[in-house]
Amino acid sequence: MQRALSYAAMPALRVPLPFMLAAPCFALAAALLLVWHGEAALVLRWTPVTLGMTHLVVLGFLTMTIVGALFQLLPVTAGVAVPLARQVAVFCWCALALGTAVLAAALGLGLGATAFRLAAGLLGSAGFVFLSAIGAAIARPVPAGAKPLVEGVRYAAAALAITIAIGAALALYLGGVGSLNAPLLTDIHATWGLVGWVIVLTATVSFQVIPMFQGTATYPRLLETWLPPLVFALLFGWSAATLFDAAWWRLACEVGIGALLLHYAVTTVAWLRGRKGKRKPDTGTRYWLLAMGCLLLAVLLHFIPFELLFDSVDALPLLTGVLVIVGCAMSAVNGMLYKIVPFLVWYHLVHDEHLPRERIPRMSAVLGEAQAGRQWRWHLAGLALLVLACLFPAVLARPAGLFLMVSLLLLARDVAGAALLYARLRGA
Amino acid sequence: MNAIADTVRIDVSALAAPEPMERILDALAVLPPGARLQVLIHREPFPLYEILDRRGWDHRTTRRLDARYDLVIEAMACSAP
Repeated sequence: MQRALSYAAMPALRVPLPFMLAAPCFALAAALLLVWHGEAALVLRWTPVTLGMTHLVVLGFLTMTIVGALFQLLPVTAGVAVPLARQVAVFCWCALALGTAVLAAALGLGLGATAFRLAAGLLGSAGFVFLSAIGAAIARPVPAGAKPLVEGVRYAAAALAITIAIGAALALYLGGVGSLNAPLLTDIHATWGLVGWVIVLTATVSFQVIPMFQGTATYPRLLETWLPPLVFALLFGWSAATLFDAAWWRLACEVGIGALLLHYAVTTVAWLRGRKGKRKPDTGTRYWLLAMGCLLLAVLLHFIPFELLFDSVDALPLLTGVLVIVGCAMSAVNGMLYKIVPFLVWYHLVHDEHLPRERIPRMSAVLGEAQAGRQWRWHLAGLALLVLACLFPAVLARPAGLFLMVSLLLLARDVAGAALLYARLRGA
Repeated sequence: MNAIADTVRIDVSALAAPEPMERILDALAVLPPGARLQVLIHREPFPLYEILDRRGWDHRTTRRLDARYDLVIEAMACSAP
């Protein structure tokens, strides 16, 4: 059965848009660091600059966009408004932006204990306010059709809470507070953040937006309903097995999570290839196919005895991280921005009773296929170079950073252009 | 509703968002006075309802056996959109 989207409680454009405008800037900063540091940024995942870049992308780009999108998506798909949306959005935007900048600087530039404590405070408070508001919204009864989305958000939000708690403990440890097993907890923190928060939420959102914007059939209800709780339960098992050093249990949980993610990726590819009317794939479809290809590759690589193929065993976690963070999550979010931003601008213009109809541009004129296609080519080239740079960092790290910088500058320009068009038409 | 009103029919059921909404609003802009628009669509167009209400269009939606929807739009009896 098709889901019904309710737009009656659509929040003002100024609630989600600042998140989408800021996100490309943080990823651009990460690309700039890659150009600046070159090979040193891709040798190990533990180097300061690599950790700084990683947090700029996962917090500044991915979490920033996802948080902004949730303010929009929850009211319109589940009919549940986020309480005090405008105030919560302003606070979360400021704390997340500032906290990300401080944490990236503390990690990358070694700013010292105070910076880590400040970052923990800012990001912890952003997480607390955001999760409280989202929690209050999804605690209300929702229509049956919206249940898979709300359940998915619930599990992803719980994973975010765990990620923030461990991350704050690690930041306080780096700030000189307490003592803990940092490498072990970093692994658990990263896995909850990437799999439990970013991938589960991306999948949950994709169950709604792929049928809507790419014109596919609705996803199988079984997959929508069971993917988030099963991944969540397996992540719990994996964390316990990691903490208690139970190698076989840990492997069993990894196989389970890998199988679920493979199933999701294969289903999505099949859905996109079987689109209604067999239309020519647009840039949004290409972005989703790229994201699923990278997720498939990351899962397969995780189980390959990489040390037999290459000398450097450090390249495996780095390559898997690049495939999940940049290849899968960043590609999916990047592609969604080219659909969601022009749709929101167009919808709010149509909604404006005082704006003559002949002055309202078509959605494709707000942000069109030509702009998306141009940015896609730079993103694809940058990603391909970045993947290869994990294996040959001395030669390819800087070119990868340069290509990604161009792609992110184009994204920032396109999103800002859509916002300016809205402001111009509303102000005229 | 006028039983003898002309009916303009469009099928937007194979289109991705927001083309169905764009096509419907385009069709309403050139709809002859007294005519009604009948739309075949693959999901219930909630985003459209608020716009139709604000602009003085009456609408009703019926779910078909093939899980698509028939949407009929016509000018409200006491208002001119």
